[in-house]
Amino acid sequence: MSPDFWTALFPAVAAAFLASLVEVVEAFTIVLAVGTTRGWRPAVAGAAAAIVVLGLIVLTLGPALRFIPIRTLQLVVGILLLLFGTGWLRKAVLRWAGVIALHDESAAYAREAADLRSRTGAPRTLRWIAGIAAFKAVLLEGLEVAFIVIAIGAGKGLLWEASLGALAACALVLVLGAALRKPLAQVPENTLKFGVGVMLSAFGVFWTGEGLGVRWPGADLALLPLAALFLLAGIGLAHLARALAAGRPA
Amino acid sequence: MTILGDVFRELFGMFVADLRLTLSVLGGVLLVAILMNSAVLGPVAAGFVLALGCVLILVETVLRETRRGK
Repeated sequence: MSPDFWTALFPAVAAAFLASLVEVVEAFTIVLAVGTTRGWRPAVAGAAAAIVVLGLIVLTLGPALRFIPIRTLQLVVGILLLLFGTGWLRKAVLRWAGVIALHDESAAYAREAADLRSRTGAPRTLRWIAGIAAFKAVLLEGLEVAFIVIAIGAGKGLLWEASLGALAACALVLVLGAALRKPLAQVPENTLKFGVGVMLSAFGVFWTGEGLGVRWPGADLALLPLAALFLLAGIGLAHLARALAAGRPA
Repeated sequence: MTILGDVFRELFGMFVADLRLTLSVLGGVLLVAILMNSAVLGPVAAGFVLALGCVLILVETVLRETRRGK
Protein backbone atom coordinates (compact mmCIF):
# COMPACT_ATOMS: atom_id res chain seq x y z
CA MET A 1 0.00 0.00 0.00
CA SER A 2 1.34 3.42 -0.98
CA PRO A 3 2.65 5.46 1.99
CA ASP A 4 0.29 8.36 1.24
CA PHE A 5 -2.79 6.12 0.90
CA TRP A 6 -4.27 7.21 4.24
CA THR A 7 -3.21 10.86 4.00
CA ALA A 8 -3.91 11.63 0.34
CA LEU A 9 -5.73 9.00 -1.74
CA PHE A 10 -8.24 7.67 0.79
CA PRO A 11 -9.39 11.07 2.18
CA ALA A 12 -9.65 12.53 -1.33
CA VAL A 13 -11.73 9.65 -2.74
CA ALA A 14 -13.82 9.36 0.45
CA ALA A 15 -14.59 13.11 0.50
CA ALA A 16 -15.57 13.06 -3.18
CA PHE A 17 -17.72 9.92 -2.68
CA LEU A 18 -19.53 11.16 0.44
CA ALA A 19 -20.08 14.72 -0.83
CA SER A 20 -21.40 13.32 -4.10
CA LEU A 21 -23.73 11.00 -2.23
CA VAL A 22 -25.35 14.00 -0.50
CA GLU A 23 -25.77 15.96 -3.72
CA VAL A 24 -26.76 13.05 -5.97
CA VAL A 25 -29.52 12.00 -3.55
CA GLU A 26 -30.96 15.55 -3.78
CA ALA A 27 -30.70 15.59 -7.57
CA PHE A 28 -32.23 12.09 -7.79
CA THR A 29 -35.30 13.28 -5.84
CA ILE A 30 -36.03 15.93 -8.49
CA VAL A 31 -35.31 13.59 -11.41
CA LEU A 32 -37.62 11.01 -9.81
CA ALA A 33 -40.36 13.64 -9.45
CA VAL A 34 -39.94 14.58 -13.12
CA GLY A 35 -39.93 10.92 -14.22
CA THR A 36 -43.01 9.88 -12.29
CA THR A 37 -44.96 13.06 -13.17
CA ARG A 38 -44.04 13.70 -16.83
CA GLY A 39 -42.40 10.46 -17.99
CA TRP A 40 -38.86 9.10 -17.93
CA ARG A 41 -37.75 10.41 -21.33
CA PRO A 42 -37.47 14.11 -20.33
CA ALA A 43 -36.12 13.10 -16.90
CA VAL A 44 -33.30 10.97 -18.32
CA ALA A 45 -32.55 13.40 -21.19
CA GLY A 46 -32.33 16.42 -18.82
CA ALA A 47 -30.17 14.55 -16.31
CA ALA A 48 -27.88 13.16 -19.02
CA ALA A 49 -27.39 16.61 -20.59
CA ALA A 50 -26.43 18.06 -17.19
CA ILE A 51 -23.96 15.19 -16.55
CA VAL A 52 -22.31 15.93 -19.92
CA VAL A 53 -21.98 19.67 -19.01
CA LEU A 54 -20.54 18.77 -15.59
CA GLY A 55 -18.12 16.30 -17.17
CA LEU A 56 -16.92 18.99 -19.58
CA ILE A 57 -16.40 21.42 -16.67
CA VAL A 58 -14.26 18.87 -14.77
CA LEU A 59 -12.32 17.78 -17.88
CA THR A 60 -11.64 21.40 -18.91
CA LEU A 61 -10.91 23.05 -15.57
CA GLY A 62 -9.12 20.14 -13.92
CA PRO A 63 -6.16 19.79 -16.31
CA ALA A 64 -6.05 23.61 -16.88
CA LEU A 65 -5.20 24.09 -13.19
CA ARG A 66 -1.80 22.42 -13.81
CA PHE A 67 -0.64 25.66 -15.46
CA ILE A 68 -1.12 27.65 -12.24
CA PRO A 69 1.95 27.80 -9.91
CA ILE A 70 1.50 25.16 -7.19
CA ARG A 71 1.71 27.58 -4.21
CA THR A 72 -0.92 29.90 -5.72
CA LEU A 73 -3.12 26.92 -6.58
CA GLN A 74 -2.83 25.47 -3.07
CA LEU A 75 -3.67 28.83 -1.50
CA VAL A 76 -6.73 29.51 -3.71
CA VAL A 77 -8.06 25.93 -3.58
CA GLY A 78 -7.31 25.76 0.16
CA ILE A 79 -9.27 28.93 0.92
CA LEU A 80 -12.21 27.79 -1.25
CA LEU A 81 -12.24 24.35 0.42
CA LEU A 82 -12.05 26.03 3.82
CA LEU A 83 -15.04 28.26 3.03
CA PHE A 84 -17.00 25.35 1.56
CA GLY A 85 -16.08 22.89 4.33
CA THR A 86 -16.79 25.22 7.26
CA GLY A 87 -20.03 26.21 5.51
CA TRP A 88 -21.20 22.57 5.41
CA LEU A 89 -20.00 21.96 8.98
CA ARG A 90 -21.89 25.05 10.21
CA LYS A 91 -25.08 23.94 8.47
CA ALA A 92 -24.82 20.33 9.73
CA VAL A 93 -24.22 21.47 13.33
CA LEU A 94 -27.13 23.96 13.21
CA ARG A 95 -29.43 21.27 11.76
CA TRP A 96 -28.38 18.72 14.39
CA ALA A 97 -29.00 21.31 17.13
CA GLY A 98 -32.47 21.97 15.71
CA VAL A 99 -31.72 25.63 14.94
CA ILE A 100 -32.49 25.11 11.24
CA ALA A 101 -34.71 22.43 9.71
CA LEU A 102 -33.32 19.15 8.38
CA HIS A 103 -33.46 18.60 4.63
CA ASP A 104 -36.52 16.47 3.82
CA GLU A 105 -36.29 14.46 0.57
CA SER A 106 -39.95 13.38 0.67
CA ALA A 107 -41.07 17.02 1.02
CA ALA A 108 -38.74 18.10 -1.81
CA TYR A 109 -40.19 15.33 -4.01
CA ALA A 110 -43.77 16.36 -3.21
CA ARG A 111 -43.01 20.04 -3.91
CA GLU A 112 -41.41 19.34 -7.27
CA ALA A 113 -44.14 16.90 -8.36
CA ALA A 114 -46.86 19.39 -7.34
CA ASP A 115 -45.09 22.18 -9.25
CA LEU A 116 -44.86 20.06 -12.41
CA ARG A 117 -48.52 18.97 -12.16
CA SER A 118 -49.69 22.57 -11.74
CA ARG A 119 -48.23 23.59 -15.12
CA THR A 120 -50.47 23.62 -18.17
CA GLY A 121 -49.76 23.61 -21.90
CA ALA A 122 -49.18 21.33 -24.86
CA PRO A 123 -47.68 17.89 -24.00
CA ARG A 124 -44.48 18.76 -25.87
CA THR A 125 -44.07 22.01 -23.87
CA LEU A 126 -44.69 20.18 -20.61
CA ARG A 127 -42.05 17.59 -21.50
CA TRP A 128 -39.57 20.39 -22.23
CA ILE A 129 -40.32 22.04 -18.88
CA ALA A 130 -39.85 18.68 -17.14
CA GLY A 131 -36.57 18.04 -18.97
CA ILE A 132 -35.26 21.49 -18.02
CA ALA A 133 -36.25 20.89 -14.38
CA ALA A 134 -34.22 17.64 -14.38
CA PHE A 135 -31.31 19.36 -16.17
CA LYS A 136 -31.26 22.24 -13.70
CA ALA A 137 -31.46 20.00 -10.62
CA VAL A 138 -28.59 17.77 -11.74
CA LEU A 139 -26.50 20.75 -12.91
CA LEU A 140 -26.93 22.78 -9.71
CA GLU A 141 -26.40 19.85 -7.32
CA GLY A 142 -23.55 18.59 -9.50
CA LEU A 143 -21.70 21.91 -9.40
CA GLU A 144 -20.74 21.28 -5.78
CA VAL A 145 -19.56 17.78 -6.71
CA ALA A 146 -17.56 19.19 -9.64
CA PHE A 147 -15.94 21.77 -7.38
CA ILE A 148 -14.96 19.16 -4.78
CA VAL A 149 -13.59 16.79 -7.42
CA ILE A 150 -11.58 19.57 -9.09
CA ALA A 151 -10.35 21.10 -5.82
CA ILE A 152 -9.29 17.80 -4.26
CA GLY A 153 -7.92 16.51 -7.55
CA ALA A 154 -5.92 19.66 -8.23
CA GLY A 155 -4.23 19.76 -4.83
CA LYS A 156 -2.63 16.31 -5.09
CA GLY A 157 -3.06 15.35 -8.75
CA LEU A 158 -5.92 12.99 -7.92
CA LEU A 159 -8.49 14.21 -10.44
CA TRP A 160 -9.30 10.75 -11.83
CA GLU A 161 -9.41 9.13 -8.41
CA ALA A 162 -11.72 11.85 -7.02
CA SER A 163 -13.89 11.58 -10.17
CA LEU A 164 -14.19 7.82 -9.65
CA GLY A 165 -15.30 8.45 -6.05
CA ALA A 166 -18.03 10.80 -7.34
CA LEU A 167 -19.09 8.36 -10.08
CA ALA A 168 -19.30 5.52 -7.54
CA ALA A 169 -21.73 7.65 -5.49
CA CYS A 170 -23.83 8.30 -8.64
CA ALA A 171 -23.92 4.57 -9.42
CA LEU A 172 -24.92 3.67 -5.86
CA VAL A 173 -27.77 6.22 -5.79
CA LEU A 174 -29.00 5.10 -9.23
CA VAL A 175 -29.02 1.42 -8.23
CA LEU A 176 -30.79 2.14 -4.91
CA GLY A 177 -33.18 4.61 -6.54
CA ALA A 178 -34.07 2.23 -9.38
CA ALA A 179 -34.76 -0.53 -6.87
CA LEU A 180 -36.84 1.58 -4.46
CA ARG A 181 -38.55 3.98 -6.94
CA LYS A 182 -39.03 6.58 -4.18
CA PRO A 183 -36.99 9.44 -2.66
CA LEU A 184 -33.97 8.17 -0.68
CA ALA A 185 -35.19 9.83 2.51
CA GLN A 186 -33.40 7.28 4.73
CA VAL A 187 -29.94 8.44 3.67
CA PRO A 188 -28.40 10.19 6.73
CA GLU A 189 -27.86 13.42 4.79
CA ASN A 190 -26.90 15.56 7.76
CA THR A 191 -24.37 13.06 9.13
CA LEU A 192 -22.78 12.80 5.68
CA LYS A 193 -22.71 16.59 5.41
CA PHE A 194 -21.03 16.79 8.82
CA GLY A 195 -18.39 14.23 7.84
CA VAL A 196 -17.64 15.90 4.52
CA GLY A 197 -17.53 19.31 6.25
CA VAL A 198 -14.90 17.93 8.65
CA MET A 199 -12.79 16.48 5.83
CA LEU A 200 -12.98 19.52 3.56
CA SER A 201 -12.23 21.93 6.43
CA ALA A 202 -9.12 19.87 7.25
CA PHE A 203 -8.06 19.82 3.58
CA GLY A 204 -8.75 23.56 3.40
CA VAL A 205 -6.60 24.46 6.41
CA PHE A 206 -3.82 22.14 5.22
CA TRP A 207 -3.60 23.52 1.68
CA THR A 208 -4.13 27.14 2.72
CA GLY A 209 -1.20 26.62 5.08
CA GLU A 210 0.90 25.02 2.33
CA GLY A 211 0.13 27.97 0.06
CA LEU A 212 1.16 30.43 2.78
CA GLY A 213 4.42 28.56 3.43
CA VAL A 214 3.40 26.80 6.67
CA ARG A 215 5.62 23.86 7.65
CA TRP A 216 3.26 21.15 8.90
CA PRO A 217 4.81 18.75 11.41
CA GLY A 218 4.67 15.28 9.83
CA ALA A 219 3.94 16.76 6.37
CA ASP A 220 0.81 15.11 4.87
CA LEU A 221 0.18 13.24 8.14
CA ALA A 222 -0.86 16.61 9.64
CA LEU A 223 -4.20 16.10 7.81
CA LEU A 224 -5.20 13.49 10.40
CA PRO A 225 -4.91 15.69 13.53
CA LEU A 226 -6.50 18.56 11.58
CA ALA A 227 -9.49 16.33 10.74
CA ALA A 228 -9.63 15.17 14.39
CA LEU A 229 -9.61 18.81 15.54
CA PHE A 230 -12.59 19.73 13.32
CA LEU A 231 -14.39 16.49 14.23
CA LEU A 232 -14.08 17.07 17.99
CA ALA A 233 -14.91 20.77 17.64
CA GLY A 234 -17.96 19.92 15.51
CA ILE A 235 -19.27 17.30 17.95
CA GLY A 236 -18.70 19.56 20.97
CA LEU A 237 -20.26 22.50 19.19
CA ALA A 238 -23.31 20.47 18.16
CA HIS A 239 -23.96 19.47 21.81
CA LEU A 240 -23.41 23.06 23.00
CA ALA A 241 -25.69 24.51 20.32
CA ARG A 242 -28.38 21.92 21.06
CA ALA A 243 -28.31 22.74 24.77
CA LEU A 244 -28.43 26.47 24.02
CA ALA A 245 -31.28 26.05 21.53
CA ALA A 246 -33.25 24.04 24.09
CA GLY A 247 -32.75 26.80 26.64
CA ARG A 248 -30.74 24.60 28.97
CA PRO A 249 -27.46 25.79 30.49
CA ALA A 250 -24.67 24.52 28.19
CA MET B 1 -30.79 33.22 -18.51
CA THR B 2 -32.65 31.86 -15.49
CA ILE B 3 -30.46 28.74 -15.46
CA LEU B 4 -27.30 30.86 -15.73
CA GLY B 5 -28.53 33.09 -12.90
CA ASP B 6 -29.27 30.00 -10.78
CA VAL B 7 -25.77 28.65 -11.52
CA PHE B 8 -24.15 31.88 -10.32
CA ARG B 9 -26.39 31.97 -7.25
CA GLU B 10 -25.42 28.36 -6.48
CA LEU B 11 -21.71 29.12 -6.91
CA PHE B 12 -22.00 32.19 -4.67
CA GLY B 13 -23.93 30.22 -2.04
CA MET B 14 -21.27 27.49 -2.04
CA PHE B 15 -18.69 29.84 -0.57
CA VAL B 16 -20.85 32.46 1.12
CA ALA B 17 -23.31 30.36 3.12
CA ASP B 18 -22.88 32.92 5.91
CA LEU B 19 -21.29 36.25 4.97
CA ARG B 20 -19.73 36.77 8.40
CA LEU B 21 -18.19 33.28 8.37
CA THR B 22 -16.75 33.89 4.91
CA LEU B 23 -15.33 37.30 5.78
CA SER B 24 -13.92 36.04 9.09
CA VAL B 25 -12.15 33.11 7.41
CA LEU B 26 -10.72 35.38 4.70
CA GLY B 27 -9.65 37.91 7.36
CA GLY B 28 -8.05 35.14 9.44
CA VAL B 29 -6.04 33.82 6.48
CA LEU B 30 -4.93 37.37 5.62
CA LEU B 31 -3.88 38.00 9.23
CA VAL B 32 -1.80 34.79 9.35
CA ALA B 33 -0.16 35.75 6.03
CA ILE B 34 0.73 39.22 7.38
CA LEU B 35 2.07 37.80 10.66
CA MET B 36 4.16 35.27 8.74
CA ASN B 37 5.57 37.89 6.37
CA SER B 38 6.49 40.18 9.27
CA ALA B 39 8.20 37.20 11.00
CA VAL B 40 5.90 37.42 14.04
CA LEU B 41 4.82 33.83 13.36
CA GLY B 42 7.18 31.05 12.33
CA PRO B 43 6.17 28.49 9.65
CA VAL B 44 5.12 25.90 12.25
CA ALA B 45 3.34 28.27 14.66
CA ALA B 46 1.41 29.79 11.74
CA GLY B 47 -0.17 26.39 11.03
CA PHE B 48 -1.41 26.06 14.61
CA VAL B 49 -2.77 29.63 14.60
CA LEU B 50 -4.52 29.06 11.26
CA ALA B 51 -6.17 25.81 12.39
CA LEU B 52 -7.25 27.09 15.80
CA GLY B 53 -8.40 30.39 14.32
CA CYS B 54 -10.68 28.59 11.85
CA VAL B 55 -12.18 26.46 14.62
CA LEU B 56 -12.80 29.56 16.77
CA ILE B 57 -14.49 31.33 13.83
CA LEU B 58 -16.73 28.27 13.34
CA VAL B 59 -17.60 28.21 17.05
CA GLU B 60 -18.47 31.93 17.07
CA THR B 61 -20.63 31.60 13.92
CA VAL B 62 -22.63 28.61 15.21
CA LEU B 63 -23.17 30.05 18.69
CA ARG B 64 -24.22 33.44 17.29
CA GLU B 65 -26.76 31.82 14.98
CA THR B 66 -28.00 29.52 17.74
CA ARG B 67 -28.63 32.49 20.07
CA ARG B 68 -30.32 34.42 17.27
CA GLY B 69 -32.50 31.47 16.25
CA LYS B 70 -33.60 30.54 19.77
